[in-house]
Amino acid sequence: MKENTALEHVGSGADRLDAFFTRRGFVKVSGAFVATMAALGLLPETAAAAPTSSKGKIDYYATPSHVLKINRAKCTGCQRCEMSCTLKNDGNSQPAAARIHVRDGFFYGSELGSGDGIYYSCEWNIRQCHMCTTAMCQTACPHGAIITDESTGVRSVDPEKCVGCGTCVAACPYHMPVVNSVTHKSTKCIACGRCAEQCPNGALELVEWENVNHASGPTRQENPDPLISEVQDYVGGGKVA
Amino acid sequence: MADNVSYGWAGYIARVNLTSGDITKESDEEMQQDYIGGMGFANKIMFDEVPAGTKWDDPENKAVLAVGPLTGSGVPLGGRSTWATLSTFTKDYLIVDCHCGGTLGAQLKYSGHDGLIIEGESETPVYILIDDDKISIEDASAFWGKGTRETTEGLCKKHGLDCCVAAIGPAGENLLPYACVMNARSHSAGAGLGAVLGKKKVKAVVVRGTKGVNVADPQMVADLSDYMLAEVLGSNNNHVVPSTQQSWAEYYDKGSRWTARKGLYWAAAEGGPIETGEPKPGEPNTVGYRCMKSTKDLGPEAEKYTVKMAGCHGCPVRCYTNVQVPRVKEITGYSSTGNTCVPNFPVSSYMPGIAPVAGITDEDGTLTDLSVVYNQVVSAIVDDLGLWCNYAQLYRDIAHCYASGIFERVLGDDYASYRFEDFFDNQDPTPIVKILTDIAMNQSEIAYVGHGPLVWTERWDDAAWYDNAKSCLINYRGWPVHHAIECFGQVGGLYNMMFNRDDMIHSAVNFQGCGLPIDLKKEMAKEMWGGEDACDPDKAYTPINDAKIEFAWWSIVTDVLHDSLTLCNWVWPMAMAPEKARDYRGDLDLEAQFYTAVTGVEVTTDDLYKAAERIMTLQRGYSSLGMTDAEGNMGCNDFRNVHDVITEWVFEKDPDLKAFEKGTDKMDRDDWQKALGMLYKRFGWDEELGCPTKQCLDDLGLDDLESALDEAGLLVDGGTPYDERTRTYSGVLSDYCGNNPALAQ
Ligand code: SF4
Ligand code: SF4
Ligand code: SF4
Repeated sequence: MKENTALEHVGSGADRLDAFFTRRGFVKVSGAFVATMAALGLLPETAAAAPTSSKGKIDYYATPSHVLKINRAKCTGCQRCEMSCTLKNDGNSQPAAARIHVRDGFFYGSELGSGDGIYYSCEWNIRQCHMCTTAMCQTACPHGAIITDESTGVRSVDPEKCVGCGTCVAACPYHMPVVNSVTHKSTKCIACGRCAEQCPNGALELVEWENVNHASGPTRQENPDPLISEVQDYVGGGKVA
Repeated sequence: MADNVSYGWAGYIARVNLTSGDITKESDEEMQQDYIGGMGFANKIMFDEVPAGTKWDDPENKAVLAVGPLTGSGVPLGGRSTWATLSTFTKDYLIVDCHCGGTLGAQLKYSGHDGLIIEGESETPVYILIDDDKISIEDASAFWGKGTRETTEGLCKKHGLDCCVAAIGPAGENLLPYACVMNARSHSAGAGLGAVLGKKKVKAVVVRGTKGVNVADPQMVADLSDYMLAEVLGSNNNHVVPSTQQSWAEYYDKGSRWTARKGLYWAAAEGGPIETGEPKPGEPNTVGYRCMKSTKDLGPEAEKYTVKMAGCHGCPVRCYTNVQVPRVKEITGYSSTGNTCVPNFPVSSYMPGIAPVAGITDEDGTLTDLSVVYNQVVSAIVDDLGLWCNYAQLYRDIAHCYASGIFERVLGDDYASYRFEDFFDNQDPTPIVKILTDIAMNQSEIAYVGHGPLVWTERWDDAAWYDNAKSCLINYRGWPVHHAIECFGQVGGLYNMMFNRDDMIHSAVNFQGCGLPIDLKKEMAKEMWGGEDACDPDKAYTPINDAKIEFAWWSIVTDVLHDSLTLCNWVWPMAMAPEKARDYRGDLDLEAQFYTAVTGVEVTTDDLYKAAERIMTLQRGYSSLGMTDAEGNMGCNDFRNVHDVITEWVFEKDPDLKAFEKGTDKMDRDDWQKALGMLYKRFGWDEELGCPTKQCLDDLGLDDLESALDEAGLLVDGGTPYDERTRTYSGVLSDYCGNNPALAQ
């Protein structure tokens, strides 16, 4: 198995991104305040390490009002969530630009060899934004394009400021934001809940914010089947009984 | 700049010429209004480009994949696609449609294409890679000889796990007429398409699309979807009552595919069993539990193996079984299997009536654990080999050739090696691996059973099989019943004649099986097709009448419409609904409303039905150009006597009963001939011959077809003018559709 990352959960999974503040609400702080907090050791390492990027107006500790809670065992892979998301938020149907991802794991799970996907365990991940209190997509953005909604604490991309560089995608521990291949702007979940409304299996639920890092389900099987491409050419092709 | 935006359609079709290596792209704007997309586009392109008389394995044959304006747009059940090519297994190699679900259609649309035309022939194995706008022909030598699973895995490894791979297996490579193209593990495009690609040396089409489908009124698409999920949509086949008595439901029907119930679980789900429970109308978030397909098809023992259901892109009705059966893995190497159609129940549903299979049912006739294994072993094998079954004909023919001694007679020394006795009598599923693999490999005698009955009944001298009711063959040109006379008598019989393969029409059978009582169905029939006598109770049929003809016509045009838009005709049209508050009435205008919301073009249901009629008539006329007459001369318009010839057993079955007596679906010869003429008239075709007339071609604007038929000496005068033969469908159910958001506008 490859080196574990924040993306990887086996079995019940481990919480690798502990929420620093879990209180509901929204705190607007200055860069100086962040620096002080960091110096005092009161910030999570990840946040302290991330430079302020919106000129003293970084919103480090916004606890968003809502988050999507998912249950992958219930997901039947219809991908209506992805289409519903973009119909609502972009005015078209463009799964590859959706703020929730099923399509890339549907066949083989989080990676080839995970033992997941329709060809193996019939489980795959529904990857959703965890609505981090310390939103690394936001802290990483060199253009301050990821802003915090003052009433909900939800981070969203300001398309006017976004230049489509993809820094947020790389910075997010779950690689959730997507740079739309047509508009060249990044997108991320704004907790609107439309995907959940159209999920025919109730695999998604928009809930009041809680730490969902535990709840995403495993990202691989504990004992994955060997890859077909490594064991047989075709059924009855000589390598199986 | 709004003028430049194409809504619904991507606006382009890709063309890949394997002989020259040329890859081009062309606008489809001119076809959009008249031919919609999907089947309409694919048939139009075939008619324009593939001359009548071409053989399926000629380089001049093409394989055309197309989707429509609703594909991938967010409209529920809009994930299907249609290929058209020349038939490999039915008489005269005429045009056939090969429908498939999975994720191929949506991915193609998202790549910015409404279609893909594959033409010419490659000398070496290749695959076609479509990565948004970038299209290339790539070397497939590393994948040649491999099954569809390994091919898919290898290509996903190379190009990304989000790609959709549509691949042929050994059956296609070896030019077996019954070869198909597989995507998403178990979604097949059949009718010999795999052999056509195999002849062109195309191992796979790999598609990744990251673009969007532009939608003119996204809010309306969302509102209509919410309305549809809340009160109009039922379960698989749009069955609208549960299969067991449930407190919320006024009706229930044992045969319904709304099989969820308390105490029935996806028992092998990750983290513990998930109860299917009692999903009710008005609950959009439980629609996907209504159809518990594994136990429905495979019997109660399948519950413990059931991980979940799945299905095509964009569909909230999850009709695909996903089971993990350890014994199946032992035998085939594959842990995950399941389907929704024939490959889910190939042994238990199609073989025992012809050759008993020991141990697959218990004393009460309940399917056993062994039946799960038998069925899913076959499912895993055929999907990997890319082996199609001609809507179960393969399984009926194998059982028959075994039981009647044909195999013993024709297979010679090989016979013993197939261990048929072990398979049929000794509860051992393993012999089927070799049987099916040898068929797919197309090198030994047994493979002829995979060339279709047209070939093997002649080769093995068994023409009588066509006239045996057990064969289920419905047309002498080589295809079996697909919901035929058992589905409203003449109605089903008629639409089984229309195409050059089994019809795949579900509009009527959905209504038949929906679970509502016959009296209510009759009321609904009156509203939709103009007469209560459009439908009779099962096996209590009455002679042909106008309403039945209307019902048959509607079944055909709605199917063609759905294959063009593309929507799933296994569930659409919305003729009925589960909601009592709307008196169980469906909503026939949803296709048109979704079309308008997606494309921004105002259309009515009647406009769409007319376009579907155009597509059907085009296929009919194109077929007549290549059809041979009794003397073998090409170019024949006598559909009544050459094409639409129903097999004799429908008139001969149940010898103790007469046609129209209770207890039989036996047909009457005179009534059948009368019915054909009435249906021809409804389409504006010649009432004697059943071919398109000058009048109907003018009405439908099929000028090119008209000149082609004229040139071939096949154009006939006469035909009833459009306005004298058509009815209005728009708004017929609107009294029941008070919550339809498009009507509120
Ligand atoms: S909650 Fe809204 S923004 Fe987030 S994934 Fe769902 S539909 Fe998209
Ligand atoms: S996009 Fe990633 S980093 Fe940003 S809030 Fe969501 S999960 Fe956290
Ligand atoms: S809508 Fe629900 S069932 Fe469908 S893919 Fe998304 S999470 Fe899975």
